[in-house]
Amino acid sequence: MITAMILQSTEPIHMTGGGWVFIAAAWVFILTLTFYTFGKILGKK
Amino acid sequence: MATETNQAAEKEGWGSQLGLVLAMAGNAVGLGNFLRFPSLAAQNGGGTFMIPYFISLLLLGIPLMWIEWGIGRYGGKYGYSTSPGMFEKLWNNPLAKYLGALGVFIPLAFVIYYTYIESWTLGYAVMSFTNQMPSIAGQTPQEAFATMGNYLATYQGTNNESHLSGTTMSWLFFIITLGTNLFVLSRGIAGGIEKMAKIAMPLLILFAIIVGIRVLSLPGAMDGVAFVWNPDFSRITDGAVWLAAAGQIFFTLSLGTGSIETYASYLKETDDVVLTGLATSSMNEFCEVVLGGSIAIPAAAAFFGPGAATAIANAGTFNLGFQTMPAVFSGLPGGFLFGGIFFTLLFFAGITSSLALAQPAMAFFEDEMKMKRTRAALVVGAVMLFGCIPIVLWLQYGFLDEFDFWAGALLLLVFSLIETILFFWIFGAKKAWDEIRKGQQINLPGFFFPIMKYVVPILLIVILIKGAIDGMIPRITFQTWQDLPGWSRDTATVAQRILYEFGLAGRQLVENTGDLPNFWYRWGARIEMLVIYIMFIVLVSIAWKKRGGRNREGADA
Repeated sequence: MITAMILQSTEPIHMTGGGWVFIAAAWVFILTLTFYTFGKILGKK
Repeated sequence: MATETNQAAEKEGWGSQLGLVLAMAGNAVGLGNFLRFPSLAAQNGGGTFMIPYFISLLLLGIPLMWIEWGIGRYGGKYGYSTSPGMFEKLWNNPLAKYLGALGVFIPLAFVIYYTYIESWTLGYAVMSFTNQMPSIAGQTPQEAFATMGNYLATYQGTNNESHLSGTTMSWLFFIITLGTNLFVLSRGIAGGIEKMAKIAMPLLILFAIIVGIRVLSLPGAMDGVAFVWNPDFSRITDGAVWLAAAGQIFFTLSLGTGSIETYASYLKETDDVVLTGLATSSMNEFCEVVLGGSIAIPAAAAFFGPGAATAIANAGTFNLGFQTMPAVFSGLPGGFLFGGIFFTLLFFAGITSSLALAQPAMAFFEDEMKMKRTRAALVVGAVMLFGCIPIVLWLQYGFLDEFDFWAGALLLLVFSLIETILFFWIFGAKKAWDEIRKGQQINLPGFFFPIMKYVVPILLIVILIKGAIDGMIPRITFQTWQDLPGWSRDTATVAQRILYEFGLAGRQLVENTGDLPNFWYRWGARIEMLVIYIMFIVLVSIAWKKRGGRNREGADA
């Protein structure tokens, strides 16, 4: 099935505004949480 | 008790909080972060999948992680590094330690087959770096995909004419991988596991960033990013999407394996679990959402075109990792290097997980059976080696698949439900809550109390019921789609679907043809798992009798 579908459509899928909002929100949330927690762990040394 | 205190005083410990976080994160970060998450997100509404995903993280993943850390540190106070002893401290009942034996059996059964998959990543890394992957020069993407499929089958030995799979190469890399795991385990917590985590995790992240940048620079890669992230709001009301999100959160954080409890048991009583647990979760999410979301699907879209992205996402983790990605790298200038780096990062993700999965058995043999660390490693290694032989030899007959379902999925949910009820309902919610917050370096918000007590067990029950209906009932009635010749999920008639959903298709087939393919292999896998569990029940019983004897000596002294 995969080989049949490969190159079936070359119509590009563009990032929509919603896509950018979701990826930005997710990345910001995760990076903030990561820096916050690791900052606290490393900062108390 | 004097004996427990002595045991506690002799226990190993982590060298540093950072080392612990990296080891715990290594436990969580695995192949699924890079191969399963992006496919799942793409299939379940793209960007909108993040809504149920993060809600599940808040309502299930992080609270359950804190529960497991809390149980582990509490049990460690009394000298217990594995869940038989921990559960007995939570529930003073003879049954408790046998329920706890699940927390040693499950990770060992899991690591038996997981190590084999991990060895594939090592094999592929070496083949990539040495430029020995098949050339796809002049091939269309379809042909390239097929070439890599054949290569995987040749590597695993599933396309030979023999009844048995496994090749010299697959065995060689499996032995090397197993040996590496045992070497690290034999060095102990700080000297082995923590050291490995401090090397592997930063390198994993660095390699993922390198590969991610290379992939995202490919023409068409942003189509893959769009496929993963463009929201489809119509899916937000689909219960299946919410369940898929909750399931992914549960499995990505490696909950329910008993390994978190074991790692946490090496903490001191007043060491923090709240901040450390949160840091572990955040690192896992960074690897999954930020890095994992930027590599595999964008690479597939760049190479195969956006039209194939759906099919590739649906094809599953193994196809994506060991067929699609090698095809992509083989087609790139310098692809041997990027392919080697990609599979090395998967190997690091795998080995940090397999060490965590093997450690409960190690700890059990050291602490309860009083073995020296090297001997314990040899015993665990022997079980992993001999346990994996049928998996290597009968890969195409569902042996690994059966292990993956029970020890890699369903039993994790069962164990998580048991431990949550034990901790928050039998041990006592207030006591459990206070225990988790001991030594906290950040304030645990009060709203997590009702979440841990009520929401976590309810969500686990819902996921378990879904898993039972979707997976267990068909399996214990001796059927899956691949077992039923001539039956296919895509082409099944209504009558066949009904028979399948009610677990009758297998029996129908037996009546019609007198034979069920893979029947004996699947039952062989189940019996093997049952034997391992019974072995631990017996060992727990022996250990407790010895412990009772030592306690009497201590009381008399």
